Amino acid sequence: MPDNPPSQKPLICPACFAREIDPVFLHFDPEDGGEFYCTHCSYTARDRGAVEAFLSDHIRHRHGIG
Amino acid sequence: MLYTNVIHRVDARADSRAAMAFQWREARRLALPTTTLLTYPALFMDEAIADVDQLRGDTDELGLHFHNFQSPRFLERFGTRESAFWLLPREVRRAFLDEMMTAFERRFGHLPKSIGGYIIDAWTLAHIKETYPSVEVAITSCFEEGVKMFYGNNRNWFLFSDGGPWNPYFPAKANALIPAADAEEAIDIVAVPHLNRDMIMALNSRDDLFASHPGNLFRARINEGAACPYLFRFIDAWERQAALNGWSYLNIFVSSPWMSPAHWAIGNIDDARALYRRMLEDLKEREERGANSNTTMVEFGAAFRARVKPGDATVCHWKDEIKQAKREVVWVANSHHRAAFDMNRGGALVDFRPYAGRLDGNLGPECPALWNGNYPFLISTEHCGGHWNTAQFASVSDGSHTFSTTDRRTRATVEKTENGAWIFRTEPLRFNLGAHSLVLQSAWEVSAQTGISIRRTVLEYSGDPTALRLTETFFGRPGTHEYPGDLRGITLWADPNTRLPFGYSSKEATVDSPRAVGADVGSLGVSVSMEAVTPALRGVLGDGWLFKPCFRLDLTHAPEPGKDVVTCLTTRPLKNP
Ligand SMILES: [Zn+2]
Repeated sequence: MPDNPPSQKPLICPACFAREIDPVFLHFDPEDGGEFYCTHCSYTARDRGAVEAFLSDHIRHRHGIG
Repeated sequence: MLYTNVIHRVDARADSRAAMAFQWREARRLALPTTTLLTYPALFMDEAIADVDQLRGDTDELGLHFHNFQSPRFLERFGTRESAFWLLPREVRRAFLDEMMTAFERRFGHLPKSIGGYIIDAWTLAHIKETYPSVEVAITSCFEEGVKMFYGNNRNWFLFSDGGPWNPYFPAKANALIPAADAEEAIDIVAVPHLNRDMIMALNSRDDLFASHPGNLFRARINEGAACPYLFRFIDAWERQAALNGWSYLNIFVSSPWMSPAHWAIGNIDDARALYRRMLEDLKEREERGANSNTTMVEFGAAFRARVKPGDATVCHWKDEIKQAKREVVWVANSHHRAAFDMNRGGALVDFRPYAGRLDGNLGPECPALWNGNYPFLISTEHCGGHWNTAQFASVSDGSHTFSTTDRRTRATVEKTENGAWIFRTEPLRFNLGAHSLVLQSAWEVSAQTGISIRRTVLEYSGDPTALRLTETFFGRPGTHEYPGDLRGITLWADPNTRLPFGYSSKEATVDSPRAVGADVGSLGVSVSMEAVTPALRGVLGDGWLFKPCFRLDLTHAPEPGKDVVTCLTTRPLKNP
């Protein structure tokens, strides 16, 4: 993940995760204020919080919560 | 010029007929011409014919559609429960066509010029042209629905015609998915797609959900009530393609069940119909400002014949119209190949279908392919698990550090050249090599010819440039879906005089200063090669292994800053495959 911000762990694509495709890490493009993008599906997000919220929602469903 | 073509389908069920009456009245209200295609049950139903007589206007064209034919009449006459026209036994297909053509002529006084199916294979098209030469234009394929819609549709939709063009073309006699090289090879019918598709989703998701079809957009839930800005951005995107090709075509085929309240995917029928109505108004408004021409299929076919000849190439530059994010892809199709380049991976070639082998793509119980009409790929990043298994891209090393062009997302610019080719380029991209930085730009020239010219240019480098090595890599695996076939029989070669048979050995062969590296792939009848237009230092042939079933071809150069490294990706028919 050469273009992920250094010192942060790469994020798992939540859309691929929701389709139960093994961890596909998001890339980060710093242009235009920055955007996370998946090269496997078409998922994009502007900020880390949005990615984490999507991901944790799916994990909660997986545990039967929510 | 963008040619927009509103198409209706006449079905027999009462709710479908009511829905079609809505569609037709809306088109008439705006004086939009339509192509209205009748299905088998409707053709033999007096009430449906009465609808047609009552609703049609002077600018409406009538034709035939070969889907939704299964009915008590069909079962009684032909004795098969087969529900897809393209899979019917040939004898049944012939008799069914004869019955429909005869009935159409009896009802309307002439034979149709326009026909449609979800897939029409080369045998059927040639048979139709020979028996019913009135036919000028046909809907022949659902672009790239194949494998992904099969999964998306819970493994129930056996419609496989991946690998053909997205735009209209003259189909070849050998395989209807291949654009003919010349008039002699062509079946003299203009093939148009069933719907236009989102050309990014066509690579990696459900392109039936993201298509020129308001009902399918409801199924994708990309609407909010009756509003769907995506649909209008999508039409704009097809309007822009006209600047690259000189023309563009938009097939808007909403079969009547989609405008019926009974359809399972439609939540609110009033919203769905309001969007359909708004779309027709938009087509009218575009015409009033000179942006498009609303045509029937046969009118488009005539315009296409005037502009395009067999053998011409076509390109598509598609941006992310769903999220309007930065992703872009570039597609090219000609009589030699179809290729897609993903700017999300630095312009890597992510889908590549070489047509040199002119493989038989006919379908049905008599045919070896049975239901699998997909034209095989040599590269499909989507079906083979990533660009490290199948793709063409470059990497750069300083001896201790390496980067790949796939590491960076980029935008593309696409320009038409004076000699009828297109050049597309990435942005100049800055990469790190240890403490140094390097700026690289990639460019491709595509045309009606077999060769794809790939140019890499180091624009800046802060370190010692004599240490730099640039490697072009081609990872290939023939197939039509995810599971790899048997790759034994493939021969990897370097010119001159090096051969490495594929045998799952993981062996590598290194060659100094090769003129080209290539692979002879018998199952595709094709020899693919990367030719060193700029002399190469070294070539590598890489056998795969069972856990990584793909072959690798490398060409390594010593790039000089400011000078292009040029490689030509070429395919040829394989002699004695
Ligand atoms: Zn993803």
